[in-house]
Amino acid sequence: MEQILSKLEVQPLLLISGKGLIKRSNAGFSRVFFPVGEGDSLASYIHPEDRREFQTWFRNLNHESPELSLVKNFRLADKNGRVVSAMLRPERVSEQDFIFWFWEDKGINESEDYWQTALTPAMEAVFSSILDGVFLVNVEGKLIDVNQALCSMLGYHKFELIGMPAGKLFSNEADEIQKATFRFARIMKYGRVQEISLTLRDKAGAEVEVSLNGAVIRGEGNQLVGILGTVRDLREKKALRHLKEKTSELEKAVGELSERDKVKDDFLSMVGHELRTPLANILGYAEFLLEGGVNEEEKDKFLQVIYQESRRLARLVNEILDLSRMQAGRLVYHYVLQPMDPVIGEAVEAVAAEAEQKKIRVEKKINSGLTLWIDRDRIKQVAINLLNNAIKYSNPESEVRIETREMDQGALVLVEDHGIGIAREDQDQVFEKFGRVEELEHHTQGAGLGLTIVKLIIEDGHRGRVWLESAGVGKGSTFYFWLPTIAEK
Amino acid sequence: MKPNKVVIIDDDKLLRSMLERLFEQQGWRCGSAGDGEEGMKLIRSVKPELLVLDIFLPGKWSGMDVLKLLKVDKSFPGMTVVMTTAADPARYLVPCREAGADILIPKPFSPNAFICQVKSLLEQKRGQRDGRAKDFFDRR
Repeated sequence: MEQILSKLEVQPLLLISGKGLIKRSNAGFSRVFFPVGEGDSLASYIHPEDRREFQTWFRNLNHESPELSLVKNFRLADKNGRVVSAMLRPERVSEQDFIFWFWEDKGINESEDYWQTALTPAMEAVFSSILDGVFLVNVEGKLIDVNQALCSMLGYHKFELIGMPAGKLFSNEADEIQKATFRFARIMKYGRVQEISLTLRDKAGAEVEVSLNGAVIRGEGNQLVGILGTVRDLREKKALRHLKEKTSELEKAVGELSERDKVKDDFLSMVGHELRTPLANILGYAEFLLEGGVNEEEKDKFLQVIYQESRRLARLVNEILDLSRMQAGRLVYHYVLQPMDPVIGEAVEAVAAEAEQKKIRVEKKINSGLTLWIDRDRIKQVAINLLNNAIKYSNPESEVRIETREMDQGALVLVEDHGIGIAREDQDQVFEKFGRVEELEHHTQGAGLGLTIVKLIIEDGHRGRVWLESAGVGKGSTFYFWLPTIAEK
Repeated sequence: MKPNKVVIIDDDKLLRSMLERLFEQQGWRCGSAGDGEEGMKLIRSVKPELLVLDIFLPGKWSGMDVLKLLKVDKSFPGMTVVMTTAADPARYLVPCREAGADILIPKPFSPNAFICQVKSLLEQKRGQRDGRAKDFFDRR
């Protein structure tokens, strides 16, 4: 036996006891594999993954199972963690002892052999028809086959990928490589991974986000022959999700636009109504005058109507133009630091004639003494609008009151009347331009755009506030506006 | 001879006066109201041959509401209803027709053209009913 061992220096051999301990090793073994300690258990040199199988096999060997002389394939691992695939053939040399004949298992070659037979035409067909990218990696970490989907995904030709180290598919970033290595280690350890997100690099170097599924492939002797991976391109999924988001955004925008369109339609419809109403009177009364047969008293009355309605029309046209300029942001404000009270005083003078016509007394208490950054003409327009409304909706011979005072670091202006008042449910809508057409059928003629313009001038133009108080229909109303002392210029 | 009766419902006082004058010139007896509720009362008491009804009215009932009420009521089968509006007529043409109005005349209108349209409408309706045309307006 000793002779055999020494004679066959080249052939790696181990003398193993029936308990699995190494009794002797030869130079061939040390050279091809690694030196082993005599007296050590052979199992301790078997790769941990293969150890269990080895032990089972070795037990059978002791019971003289018929598999006795078959060549077995195990991975050996030395104390430093070096792994070598080996084939061994046991030979019983005595009651207790065996000689194990070893050959280095050229695992790579074998795995290549494996692939040559494993990839049947049917398999190839499956391979090429999968829409996800599929790759096979051998134990050396080289790509040994890829499908067309992977080539398209990464922009390579098949021949470029075959033989390429799989690591090259991953990002150059250190942490990506580390991540990829870790993923592959997991595949090795657990046999498979699912839905792992990774970043690959295409031929041009661009990142390709993928989800990886992988599984190890073992040969007939349970040896690792490679890894099968499938990668799903997440960019498309992402693009699709992005597209979906965009679509829903667009749908929302279309909804908003058509809503706005409806509001605009209603507005135009209402503007048309407001313009045609005075025109109907102008046209009608002018025709009466032209036809003749009108007495002097009637003639005066009709001319008065035409004049009054023309003025109403002109005012409305100006309001519409103002409003459209304001809403388009084209109305330019000219802010000047100036005393507030004279501006309000001028507004009172401007409505004096109207007030006198209805014998309405305008009581004023204009002494806030405040100086503000304001656009004089626009603030005057606001005060005139509010006073005109107060006069319009007041009973003849009643009283309208206007007051300015200091409040909350700003100027408060209030216009109070004892007129028709505003129902609570309508108070919110007073400053809105005409509401919906369905509601407009019930609208009170001549509401106009005055208050909408007031709101825009005060709130958008001067960072102020405007509001109203009314105890209800028939109980009069009070309109307030407040301007900050330091208005934004 | 008993004059024909017309009720005018419009919230524009000046327009009401204008129409009243127009119909009075033609020998009609006029009643007018500024909103739907008042107008309905007037229609019930006057029982006019002709109703001139504006669509936009302040208060509880719009002109459309009045029209629908009249259709449900069925107490005024022969009454001719002329709708008027300063709003976009295209929006109201079909609803008016469906609710039983005879014609929708958009504002602004020439008083003469208005009366001509109403006249020919009445003649047409009268002709359909009696099998012959009769001019309502030459009675004064």
